[in-house]
Amino acid sequence: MKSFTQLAHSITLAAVVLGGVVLPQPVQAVLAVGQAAPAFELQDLDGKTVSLAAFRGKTVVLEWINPNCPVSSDYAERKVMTTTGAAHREIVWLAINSTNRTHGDFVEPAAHKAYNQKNGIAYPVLYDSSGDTGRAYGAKTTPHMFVIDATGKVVYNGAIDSRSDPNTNYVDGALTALAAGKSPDPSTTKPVGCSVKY
Amino acid sequence: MRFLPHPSAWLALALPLAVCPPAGGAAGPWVENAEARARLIGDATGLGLEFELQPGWHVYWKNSGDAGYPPRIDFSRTPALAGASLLFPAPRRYDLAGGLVSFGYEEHVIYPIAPITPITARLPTVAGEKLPAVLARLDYLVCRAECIPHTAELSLDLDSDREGSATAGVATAARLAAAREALPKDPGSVAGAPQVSVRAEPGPASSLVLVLQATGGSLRAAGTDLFFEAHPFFALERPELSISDDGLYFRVSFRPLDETKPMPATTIFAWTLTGLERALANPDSTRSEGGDPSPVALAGSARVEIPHLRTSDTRPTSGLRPGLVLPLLVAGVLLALFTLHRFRNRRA
Repeated sequence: MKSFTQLAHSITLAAVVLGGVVLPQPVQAVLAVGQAAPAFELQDLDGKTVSLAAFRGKTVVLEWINPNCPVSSDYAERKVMTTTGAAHREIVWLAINSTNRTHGDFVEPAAHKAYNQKNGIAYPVLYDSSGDTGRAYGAKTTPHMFVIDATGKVVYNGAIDSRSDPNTNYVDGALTALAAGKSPDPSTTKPVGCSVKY
Repeated sequence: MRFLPHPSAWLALALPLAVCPPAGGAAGPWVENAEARARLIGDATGLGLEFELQPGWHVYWKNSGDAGYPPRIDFSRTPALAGASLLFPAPRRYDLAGGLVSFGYEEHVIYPIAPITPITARLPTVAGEKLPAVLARLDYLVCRAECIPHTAELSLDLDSDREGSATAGVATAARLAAAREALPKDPGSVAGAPQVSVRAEPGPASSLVLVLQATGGSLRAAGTDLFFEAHPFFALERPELSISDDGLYFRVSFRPLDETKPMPATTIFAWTLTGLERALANPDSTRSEGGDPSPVALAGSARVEIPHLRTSDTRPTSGLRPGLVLPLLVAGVLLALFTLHRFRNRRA
């Protein structure tokens, strides 16, 4: 009897795991502003686990990154991300790389570190090779930006800037608004870049 | 004598003839890279932006979809063309990894440039002199599995007939005219077009669903698809098409981008319906004589009333996620077996 129960549990567990693999979730259409930011525990380039929950009480910026996407690397080379983060001292900036390990764009940790060093990226870069975190956030492009407030809610979802002349840095605007106790405006824009390589 | 126009008026009438672009149209030099090449083309009635793309690469529609961005063209070095903008032909859909989707064009595309007005009326000309060159800066993204951003300085000498007379055997002016003709059109201006209506209704699990129906008319669906311009308040999911005897029905789930903001009571959705064609037997068709039915795309915008939902209703529901259906089914069968097994044991 006991063994039957154990077998049933094992098969169910295996089915859950298999189901997750065989039928991956599509990317969420949108993670709306106002919703709770999905929790994640991801490993950085040194294999150290970084949890979103650890930053509760602080403003967190998430940047979807892909060094092999020319749009993402263009922002890195122009130091747009690093200078935006540096202008707001109390915030946490995390980059997430959701590139599938089997995709040609996947970058091994050593090469990613070299890329980060070349572009002055000192913030953590987290691997999400399963794509689960990217799908939960509805991350579509590199870059795609999310700003999470101190209570863990998404307050901005979209592009880093307007890519226009004159240019508007939406994330800088969102962080400035939050620091002043206001809501970001705009709170949503269309993210622009290469597709995330799930 | 007094009824004759002033000599300068004669000159004014003659001028447009003197400086008109060649009848076959004119094409600027291609600006090339490994993935694509782009150039300006023009004729007496206006301009276009032409792309040729290597196999597998695409450029974008005005709503690029989940990734990418549409080409941007800047005529600030030709002030007479300030405010000119691209018009977007009927797009096609590109499915990407992770269920992402892009909207754009592959192989070859001409974006006509608006406004479509006689170019001689817009460019300052001096009697006896050439038309000034048109200069434009182009900023575009070209994607396959990967994406490459490019910029290009384009120029067009409208007096030249360089490549204007024939590319692939078709004169530039004729290709530009065909590209304008193929632009998505208001259904009211297309003979045989269906009646298109758009409404929003509550969907399953407290979602919102946009319903576009195209009924009547004489056009037939041939790989028809529906596209929306990016909406400032809502994210739209993939349209689901059902075809019935009286027409096409698309259902499109949509959700607010920002749940902290009040939902608008009404809002405008701009749609483009592609992949319609005139039946060959249709006597109204002017193009059926050549054999191929001409593709027709329709476009419009509809003000839609948003059904009242509580804010919480639009959050992701606790309904079954597709990925859990199989495991839960297996678990259910095992539970039934287990219960049956225990029941038998008890009876024994």
